[in-house]
Amino acid sequence: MGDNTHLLEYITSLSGGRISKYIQNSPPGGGLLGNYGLFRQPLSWNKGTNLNKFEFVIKRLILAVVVVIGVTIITFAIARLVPSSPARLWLGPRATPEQVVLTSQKLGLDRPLYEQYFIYLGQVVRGDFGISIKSHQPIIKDIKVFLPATLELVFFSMILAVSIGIPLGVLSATKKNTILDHLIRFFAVFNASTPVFWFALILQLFLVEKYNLLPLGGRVSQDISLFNPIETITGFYIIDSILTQNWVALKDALVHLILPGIVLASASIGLAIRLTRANMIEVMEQKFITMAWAFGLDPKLVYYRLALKNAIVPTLMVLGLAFVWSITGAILVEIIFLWPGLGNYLTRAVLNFDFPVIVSISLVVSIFYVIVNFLLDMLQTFIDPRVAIE
Amino acid sequence: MIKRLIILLIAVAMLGSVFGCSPAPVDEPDSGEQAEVPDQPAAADDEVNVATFIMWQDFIDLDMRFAFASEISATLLCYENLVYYDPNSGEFSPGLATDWDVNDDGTEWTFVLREGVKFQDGADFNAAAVKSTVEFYTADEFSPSAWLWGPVESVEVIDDYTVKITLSFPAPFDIITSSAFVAGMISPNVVDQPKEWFDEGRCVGTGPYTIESFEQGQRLIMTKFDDYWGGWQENQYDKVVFEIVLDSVIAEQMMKSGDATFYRDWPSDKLEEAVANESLEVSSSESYAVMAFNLNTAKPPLDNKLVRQALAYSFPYEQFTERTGGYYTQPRGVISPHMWGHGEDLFQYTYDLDKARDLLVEAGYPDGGFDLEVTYMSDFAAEAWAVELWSFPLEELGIKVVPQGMTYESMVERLDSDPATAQDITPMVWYLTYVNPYDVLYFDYSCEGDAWTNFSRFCDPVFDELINEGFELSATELVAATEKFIAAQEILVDESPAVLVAVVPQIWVYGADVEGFVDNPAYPNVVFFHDLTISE
Repeated sequence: MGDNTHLLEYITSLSGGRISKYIQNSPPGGGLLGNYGLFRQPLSWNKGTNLNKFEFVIKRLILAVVVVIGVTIITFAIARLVPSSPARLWLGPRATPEQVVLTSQKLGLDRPLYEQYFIYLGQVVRGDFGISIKSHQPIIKDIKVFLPATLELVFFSMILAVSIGIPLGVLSATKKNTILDHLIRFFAVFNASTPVFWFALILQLFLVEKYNLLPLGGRVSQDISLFNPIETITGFYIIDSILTQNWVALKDALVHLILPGIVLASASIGLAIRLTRANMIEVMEQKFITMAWAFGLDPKLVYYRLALKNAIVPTLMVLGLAFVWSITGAILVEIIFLWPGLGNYLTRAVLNFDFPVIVSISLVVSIFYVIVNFLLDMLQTFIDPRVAIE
Repeated sequence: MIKRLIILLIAVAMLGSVFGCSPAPVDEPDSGEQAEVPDQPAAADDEVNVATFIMWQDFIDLDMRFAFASEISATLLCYENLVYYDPNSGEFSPGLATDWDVNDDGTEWTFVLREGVKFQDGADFNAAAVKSTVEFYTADEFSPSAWLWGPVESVEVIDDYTVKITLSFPAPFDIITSSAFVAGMISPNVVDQPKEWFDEGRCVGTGPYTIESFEQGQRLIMTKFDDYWGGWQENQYDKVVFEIVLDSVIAEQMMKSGDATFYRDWPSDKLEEAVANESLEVSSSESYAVMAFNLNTAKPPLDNKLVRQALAYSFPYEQFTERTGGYYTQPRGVISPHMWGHGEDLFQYTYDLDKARDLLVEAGYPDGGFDLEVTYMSDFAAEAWAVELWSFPLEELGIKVVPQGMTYESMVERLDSDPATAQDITPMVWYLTYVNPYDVLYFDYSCEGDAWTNFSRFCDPVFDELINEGFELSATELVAATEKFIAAQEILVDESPAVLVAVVPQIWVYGADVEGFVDNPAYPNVVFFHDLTISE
């Protein structure tokens, strides 16, 4: 057993230690190597202690704060250095020169740039993101309206991306070079390369205008706003309608999510299929998979419990980043489907030189990036024990 | 296998329940009825007439002190003025005031108020309410309302229904109180509320509609005020929904499918589609706004009057009218044809390249030989067409047009820079605050108050004096005031600080079942829904 023991240890280690659990349960005498009862404990390469994990979290948090502050400094500087007249924009066209000067002072615009920045940072720490120059509304109030709307749409699209993209990627990999594989790959390329605005308008043309199957846009129908309004608790219409047992509104809100969700998910679906397929094919060629086949393990087990777990991490990392990108990147979807989201809000702020909004939204998005990156890293160590925290 | 089949069946059943039970979108363009909503008491929507008004931008300021933009589409349904402007008679008609009088020098205005009017919160409308409203408008010196009500020195309650307003200088106060902006009467119970209170979606006026709910970025819903002094009859609208729709293609789809009742921004070159659609009506009238391409008179060669006149002769006016489907027509002077102060005999430039060339030769630019940077609003199609059409004759004159589409804010920022580096030509469409020529003449061409909306940087003391005199005279002598304003426009026409391109039309597309709609250009973008009924 000597050389074979080392060989098997090595091969088992490639599977992240999982394969041994299944080897001990494989049919007696089944497969090439028979029933090896030698490996009763999965090998783990995660040797991180609790203290190491704690240090890791602290380091990441410190880094996160540094990143967020860095982002705010850069965006604040750019937004304020672009020539603009916030006081004039604040007052509108009928302002007198004297009013413009006084308003500049009132808004603190006459102070040095670094002083303006620290004042802003102090306010943010207290939860005050300032006032929008264009709308004269507290920015936090606008964020409370637009952010849940965006997150609801993005979450839904990510659910679609994961539940459609990953299984199709696995199927495509397992049926490599068959007609099904080609069809799935075509579907992936179509989704990844179709312009969002074109896809959205085509879907509206057929599913709305021609066949009247789905609503044109908005988060809920006008009828719901008129006769079954959703009481705002979290700002997520799905959650709020469940909490208030407004089942009519819940159905309506879900239906309104379908079209924009599909459009927003399309690129991520294509990405998920291609990444999953590519990684699955690579993993499937590894020796521990060969060993699993040799032991006669069930194909479902091999594909989903052994291969996919090793292949899925890159896909999830990319989808995580796509999630954060969509928070402000979904502007076309928001406009076409009348979705009151953060992307549209930010774009209008850029066009209107509304720098407090620009800086605030940059801050919010950078926080999201940091949190999502952190969670993805944690997820990665959870899925793949080969990744040591230290 | 069986397990997979069961899972598949469950999934299909769930999808089917979502599609099958969801409220169907409205698709009956002629009925004016709402689609039946499952699980609703049928009586709830059967008895309610709902109008949908498409808004091209979100509501920003619902506080009347700051409502100086598209908010008036909603606020004018809630808040009523003392006086309104009637474009048919060219006079001012009673609103919440039934009569008014002015002293000889135009500084004391006495209004007799309408009796029996209630605010939407039950408070009485009376002289004390007028006083508290004026104080509300003038309290914040930085608010636009403070500018409009600036002439007010004091408000005196004579009796419950008579109020005297004293001005610090002569001013046409009847005109001012008829303004589309910041002039509606507000309940005394809410005048102490902060701006945020109103902006969250509240209004308390005397008007026929009040705000029921406001979903920022989506819609604002107004519902009828049952005790409105004007009363109600059958087949009027019970609710008005303002849908925020930023994309014109979506807006057109909504109109065609019957999901919307009123839309104002239908592209003028695609109006034949709306005209041909039997479920839609199209109404077009001239607004009080004139599109003017302002020339930077502080920068050579536009500091030369001859060059400016040459440019005025080079614009293809008829071609532009044709391009816009016939809706944008060449103005005569700065004041729209249907508004008082319009000069019917004012000189009008024509498209004449020979004359333009002669003027350029006289100015010392025989072959043109200079570039003109023209900025325009990228989301205003008519401006883009104007720039495009103008570039061809200018090229024939040896002048190269450098077009720059941008947002309004970016345009203003460029203008604010050093005149030597600012853009050469900037279009402007000024929507009047109130129906008085002084408004546009002052803000667009006066340098006296250093208004930053004077895009051409035009400065002429004689012009300023004329318009100031006109303003004072308009308090008591409209005929004399008109003469002053026409004389001021003669200066403008001669000096040509702007090429006056077109009178901007007000084009409405609305449902064919709507009756009684008459556009009032004094109140741009406003539909007075109480005046409408739905045909059977």
